[in-house]
Amino acid sequence: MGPEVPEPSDAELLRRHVTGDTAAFGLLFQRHKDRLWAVALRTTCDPDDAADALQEAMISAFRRAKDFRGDSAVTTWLHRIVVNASLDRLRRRPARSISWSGDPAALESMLAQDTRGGPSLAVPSPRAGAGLLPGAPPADPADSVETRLDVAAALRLLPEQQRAALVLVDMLGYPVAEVAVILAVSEGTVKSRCARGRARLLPFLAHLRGGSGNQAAADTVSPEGGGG
Amino acid sequence: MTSQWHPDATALAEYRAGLTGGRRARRLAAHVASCADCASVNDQLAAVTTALASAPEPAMPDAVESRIMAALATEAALVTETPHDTEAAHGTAAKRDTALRPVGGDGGGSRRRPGGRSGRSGPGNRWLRPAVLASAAAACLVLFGGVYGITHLSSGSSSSSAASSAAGTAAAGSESSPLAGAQAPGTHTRLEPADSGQAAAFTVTASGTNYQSATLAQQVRGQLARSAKTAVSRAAEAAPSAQLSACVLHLTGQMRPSLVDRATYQGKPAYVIAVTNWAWVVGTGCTATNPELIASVGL
Repeated sequence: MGPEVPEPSDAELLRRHVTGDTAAFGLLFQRHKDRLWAVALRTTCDPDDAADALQEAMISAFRRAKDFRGDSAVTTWLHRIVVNASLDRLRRRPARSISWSGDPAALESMLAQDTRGGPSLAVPSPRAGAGLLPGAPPADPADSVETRLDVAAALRLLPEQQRAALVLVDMLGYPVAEVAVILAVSEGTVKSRCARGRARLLPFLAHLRGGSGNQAAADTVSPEGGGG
Repeated sequence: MTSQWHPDATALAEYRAGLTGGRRARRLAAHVASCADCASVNDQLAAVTTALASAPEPAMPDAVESRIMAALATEAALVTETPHDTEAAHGTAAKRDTALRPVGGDGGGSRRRPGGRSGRSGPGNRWLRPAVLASAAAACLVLFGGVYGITHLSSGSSSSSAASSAAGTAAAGSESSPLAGAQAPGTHTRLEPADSGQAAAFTVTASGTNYQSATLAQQVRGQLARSAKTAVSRAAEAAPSAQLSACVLHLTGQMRPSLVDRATYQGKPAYVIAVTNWAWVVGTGCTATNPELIASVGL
């Protein structure tokens, strides 16, 4: 209808929201919704939890917008609220927040519960992890990597803090410095969490090497089954 | 090199991340250069990053988007009109607020007092004023709803042009809709606060209408007119379930709806919910926390 006007910046939309423009925050959300969804979904590993966390985060951001001081990008601020809401959601639902102690038997029972919407998951033999023990030489990859997990399933094996860091840095490609702000930790801590997370996922993901191998990941995270 | 010592994967990953310094880093580098097994682990660590980076990034499902937009619209309506009594008047908002406090503490802003709300709303009304709240809600829903109403209903157009034109539509809508809401008193569709015992004070019709996206507003207006005429002897009416009641009141901002019609939309079972100047189409599993919003339109 009207003449083309340049899109307002994120900061401008947030400023308009604070000054009473009731449409501005909705536009900001629409602009970043897919990225924020990816963060919530990958961090919580559950579409229902992700939706709940994201809604809480957006309401929180909506209410606290005037506290935004502009010392980071608006997107960084939004990501931080979404990550916090996601981690909080996991803490409030301990039964569904899964992290792997390293015990293969525990992993087996854990994955047995994970039947929703995903392809059947291979259960690792103890040997898959044995190659990583200190002092033992790593075996040939073809032998040691018997476990084939897709990305979404593998992420569930990580402690939540490692997962949050790895999702932001490796999956979504954010710079370590920005992730440090999002997670409110030092850059060294981000790097350390990522390194430990990568090492932990190595037996399960190294076979993927990108490309077509992880098509199954798209199926596993499909939120279609998440009706409430 | 036949050294018995091999770094574990974590040590290699930390080395790769630049966390290992000095002599230890040099020792690791020399070892990886001479040990095929560890060189392989080193390669696999790179492959883990590649695998993570190339996992498809999921798009937000429409149902989640609709639900969050509806929640933001409700929030906007509440903030606009009710600076103090919001939580008391709106149970779901109160619950969310409580739930959020631990999340919000370190989210990039200063910690806020529980219930602390922006002071931009002006002098507080101690009581909800239904007509004003309804018109504010309608205005906000025009603003919010306009965006996804247009992007979803006219799926043929490109999303960027739809989004930019939505801003214009929304701006126009905000001018007119408060007037439409203010006209409500005096007609059978008057808006009443649905507090305490009145929360479920509406009935569900089953008109059998198959609503269509292109003619939704027209059909809803027609249905509103019909139900006004036959108000005395409406045959196919039922009391709503608690779940539906909560969903409807969430959408309407706790206002009594003019119409709740169990019908079909584009051939699929749905509820059509209307207040004087706005209508929503929701899935039959609609709840207060997940309205399953399918479409919405100004009347």
